[in-house]
Amino acid sequence: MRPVGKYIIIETVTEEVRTSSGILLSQSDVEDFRYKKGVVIKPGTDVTVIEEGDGIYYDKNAGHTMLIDDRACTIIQERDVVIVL
Amino acid sequence: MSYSDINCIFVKIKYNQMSSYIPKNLEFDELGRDKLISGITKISKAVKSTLGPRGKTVLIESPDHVGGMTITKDGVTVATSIFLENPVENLAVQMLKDAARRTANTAGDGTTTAIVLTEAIVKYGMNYISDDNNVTEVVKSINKYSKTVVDCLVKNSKKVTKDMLLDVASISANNDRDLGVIISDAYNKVGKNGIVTVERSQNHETYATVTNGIKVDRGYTSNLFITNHKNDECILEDTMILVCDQEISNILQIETILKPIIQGSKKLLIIGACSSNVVNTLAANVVRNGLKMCNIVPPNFGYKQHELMQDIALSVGAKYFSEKTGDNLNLVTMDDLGHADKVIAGKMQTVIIKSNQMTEAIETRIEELKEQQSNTDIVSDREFINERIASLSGSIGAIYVGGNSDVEQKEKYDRVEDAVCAVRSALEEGIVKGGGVALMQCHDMLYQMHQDPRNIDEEAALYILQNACLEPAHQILVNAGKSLEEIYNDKNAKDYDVKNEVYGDMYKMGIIDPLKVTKNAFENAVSVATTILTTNAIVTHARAIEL
Repeated sequence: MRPVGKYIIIETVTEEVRTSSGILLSQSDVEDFRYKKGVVIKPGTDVTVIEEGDGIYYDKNAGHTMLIDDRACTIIQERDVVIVL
Repeated sequence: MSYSDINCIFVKIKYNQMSSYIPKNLEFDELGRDKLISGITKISKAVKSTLGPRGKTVLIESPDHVGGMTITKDGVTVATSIFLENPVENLAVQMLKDAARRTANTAGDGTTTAIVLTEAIVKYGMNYISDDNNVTEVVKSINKYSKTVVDCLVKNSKKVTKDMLLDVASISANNDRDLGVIISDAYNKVGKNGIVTVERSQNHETYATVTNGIKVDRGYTSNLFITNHKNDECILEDTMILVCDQEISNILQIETILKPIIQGSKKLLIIGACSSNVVNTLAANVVRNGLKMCNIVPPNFGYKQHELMQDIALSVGAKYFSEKTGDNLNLVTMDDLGHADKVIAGKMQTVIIKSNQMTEAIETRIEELKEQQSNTDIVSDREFINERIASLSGSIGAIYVGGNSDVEQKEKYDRVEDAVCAVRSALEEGIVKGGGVALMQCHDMLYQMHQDPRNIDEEAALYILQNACLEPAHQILVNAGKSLEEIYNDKNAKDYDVKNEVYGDMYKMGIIDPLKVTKNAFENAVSVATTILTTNAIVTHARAIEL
C-alpha cells in the first residue's frame, strides 16, 4: 500500500497537552487550535521532505479519516503539513 | 429510525409503566389524619422534652448499628434521627422534620420550638374545627392571624445592645458565659456589617481574632473547586488574586501568570467571568493536577459591578483589568495580582480576608465615598455607597475553638457555630423575650381580638393560634416540673426565670431569643400544620402484599 503523488497517510495523535506553566489543557481547548498533531504512516510517491514516522502538525480542517486495515487513518496532502517535528 | 428502534422505545415505555405500578395504600379523612397525628405526637414527644434550660437529654442509637450512641439536647439531632415503621406516621414525621430543618437553616436555632408549635396547631386544629366549619376558610384565617402574630412579635422586639449580645451568645452556647464573652466581643469588634467565622484552634484555647476582609455575594463557579467538603467551601490560604471584568475565553490568555503560580506552587483566586471551557480546564487541573485555585464571577451588575470590582481590587492591592478602561488581559503580569491571607469561597458568597491593615488608599477611598454620599440625594445610591464603605472597612472576625480532646472541641465547635448564627440573627432583626414569653404576649393580643364580631371559621382560627402560642412556654415549664397555671395564674405576674426560679423581666434577666428564630419557627410551623389540617387523602406505598 502506498499513497499516490502528494498524498500522505497519517494517524492523529491524542495526548494530554500541558502548557509550559504545567497547566493541563482540556480536550475542547486543544480542539480550538488550528493545527493538530499527527504521525506519518506513509508519505506519497512525490513527497520529498516528509518521511515515514515523522511527527507533524497539520491543518485540522484538511483531509478525511477512513479505515485502512482496521486502523483509523487520515489522508492529507503535503501542503497541509505545516511543521515537521 | 428503523423498525427495531421504534419497537425498542415501545418496550421501554411499557417497562416504565410497569415499574411505577407499585400497589398503594390509601387513607382518608379522620382515619388518615389520626395516623398523621399519632406520628406527630411521637416525634414531638421525643423532641419537646429537650426544650428549655430544664430540658432532658435524649439518647440515640447510632444509625449504623455499631453500638455507638449520641446523647443530645439538640432538637434537630433528635428529629433527624427518627423514622417510623408506619408509612403514614412516617410521612407526618418527615413533614415535621422539614419544618424543623427549614427553621434551623434560616435562623440557626428554634427547631424544637417549631416542632412544639406544629404539634399544637395541628392538635388544636383537630379539636376546634368542627363539622360546621369550612376547613379552607379556617386555614385561610389561620394564615391571616399568623401575620398578626408575626407583627406582634416584631412590635415587641428590641434592638440589640452590647450587653444583650452577650446574653444572646451565652444562651445559644447553652448558657456558657465564657464562650458568650468571646463571641460577643468578636461581634462588637466587627460591627453590624461584619462577619464572624468559626474555626478549629490548634491548641486547647478558645480565642477570637479580627482581621480585615471583604465579602462578595458570589460563590465558586464549579463544585470541583471545593476543598472543604464538610461545609462545601473552597478555602485558599495565602493566595494571589486576579481581578478582571472581561470574560476569559481561553486559558492561554492568563498563561503568563499561571506559569509563575504553578511553578511556585502558589494559589490563585480569579474574580472574573470565565467561559465554561476555561472553568472546566481550571477544574480539571484542580482535580487532576493538584492546583489550588478558585474562580468566582464579579458581584452585582452594570455600573455597580464596576464600582465594586474597583473596591475589591483596591483592598486586595490588585490591578483591575476592565474592558471599560481598555485593559488587555493578555498583558497581565504577577505584579498586577492582589494578595489575601485567606479566601473562603462558599456556594453563595466569598469572604476575602486581607493581611495588610487599612492602607492609605483605602482610607482615602472611604473618605471620598462619604463625600460622595453626602452629595447624592438618591436613596438607593446612598445605600449602595453604605454597602461599599462597609465592605471596604468591614472587618471579619474568626473564633478559634479549642478543646483538650477531639470530642470536647467538636462539641464546643457546634455550640459556638450555633451561637454565632443566633447572634447574627439577633443583629439582623432584634430580639424578643425568651422562654416562650414572646409568643405568650401574642396570645394575650389574640385573646383581645375575640371581642370583635367574627364568623365561626375566624373564631376557630383564633382559638387554634391562641392556644398554640401558649405551648412553648407551657412545655418549658412542664420540663421544669411546673405548670402554666401555677406560674402565671396572676394576670399581672412578671416573667418567670425557669432556671433560677425567680420572677423578673426577661430582658433584664438576660433570657432572650433572636426575633428571627421565634418568627421563623412560628411561620414554618403554621405552614406545615395548615398543610396537615387540609390533608384529606394520603397515598403510601403498600409495604407488604398479601397474596
